[in-house]
Amino acid sequence: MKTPRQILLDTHTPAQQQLDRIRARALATALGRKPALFHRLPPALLARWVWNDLILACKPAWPALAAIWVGILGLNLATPRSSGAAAHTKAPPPSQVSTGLNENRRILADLLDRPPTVIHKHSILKPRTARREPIVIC
Amino acid sequence: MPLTANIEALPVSPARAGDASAWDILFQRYQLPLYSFVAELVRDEQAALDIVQETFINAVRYLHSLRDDEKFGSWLFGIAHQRCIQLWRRKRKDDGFFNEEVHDDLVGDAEPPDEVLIRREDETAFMALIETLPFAHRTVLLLHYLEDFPLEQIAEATETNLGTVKSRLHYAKKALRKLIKEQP
Repeated sequence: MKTPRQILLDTHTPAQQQLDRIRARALATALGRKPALFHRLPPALLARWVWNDLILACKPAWPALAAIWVGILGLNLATPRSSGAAAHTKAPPPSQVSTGLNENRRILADLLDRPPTVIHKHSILKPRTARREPIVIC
Repeated sequence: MPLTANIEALPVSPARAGDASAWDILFQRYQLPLYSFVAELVRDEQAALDIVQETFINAVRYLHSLRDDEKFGSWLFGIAHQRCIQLWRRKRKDDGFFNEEVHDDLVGDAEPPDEVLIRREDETAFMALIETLPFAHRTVLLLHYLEDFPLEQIAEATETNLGTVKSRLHYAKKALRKLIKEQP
C-alpha cells in the first residue's frame, strides 16, 4: 500500500530526466549571463516572459510613454517651419550669379587693363558633358 | 518519515546570497513534487515542464520578496499555482470554480496525509479521482498530500482564505474516503 504522495510521485517519476535538464537550464538562465535567457528558452516561454515581465509588469509606464510621444508629435506639427533657418537658405538665382561673376571679371579686367569675358548663365548651369564650345576665360 | 523538508536542511539563506549549489539543492528537492502538482493541475506534460522551468527562474529572481525562509516550499508552489491559474483560465471549463460554499468552522481532517494508505489496485482509481475534482479542490488536495503544507500556507499560496481552503480540502477528502471505504 502506498500513500497518496507516493502514488503521485511514482506516476510522474518518468519525467525526472527532463526535470534535471530543466533545473540545469533554469539555473544557468537565472544565475548566468543575460543572453542565455533569450536563446535557451523555448519560444512560447520567451513570449510569455516578455508579455508578463516586460509589458504587463510596466503597465503604468506605457500610457506615460504614449503621452510623451503624442506631445512630441503635437509640438512637431504645431511648430511652423522657419523660412529663415540656415539649412533652408536658398541659393541665389542663376541670373544673379552670372551678374555677380561678370562684375568680378570686369573689376579684374580693369585692374589688369584687359577686356572682360562675359560668362553666360546657361554655360554655368550645363554639366561638362553638355557643353558644345569651350569657355575661354582671360 | 516527515513529508515536509526539515527547514534547517534547506539552504535558503545561501541561495539568497546567490549560491548556485544551494539553488541546485533546493530545486532538486522540489522538482518532482512541483512537477507532479503542476502536471495534475494543467493536464499537459509540455506545459507542466514549461511552468516548472518558469517557476525556478522566477524563484531565483524574486527570492528577495520571501520574508520567511520556512515558507520557501509553499512560496515556490504558489508561484507555480499562479501560472497554472493563468493556463487554466485560458482553457476554462465550468467546473464550479466560483460556486462553492465556505465553511469556516470546519476542523482540519483528523488523519495526517502520510497515514492515508491506498491499495495498489486502487491507485488508478485514486488518480482518476484527482482528475475528476474541480480545479480549486484538486489544488488544495495536491498541496496537502504532496507536501503536507499547513492550511495557512496553502491559503497563502492559493491566495484564498483559510475557510475556503478547509472547505475544499474537506470536500476532496470526503471523496477520497469514499473511495477507500469502498475497498473490500
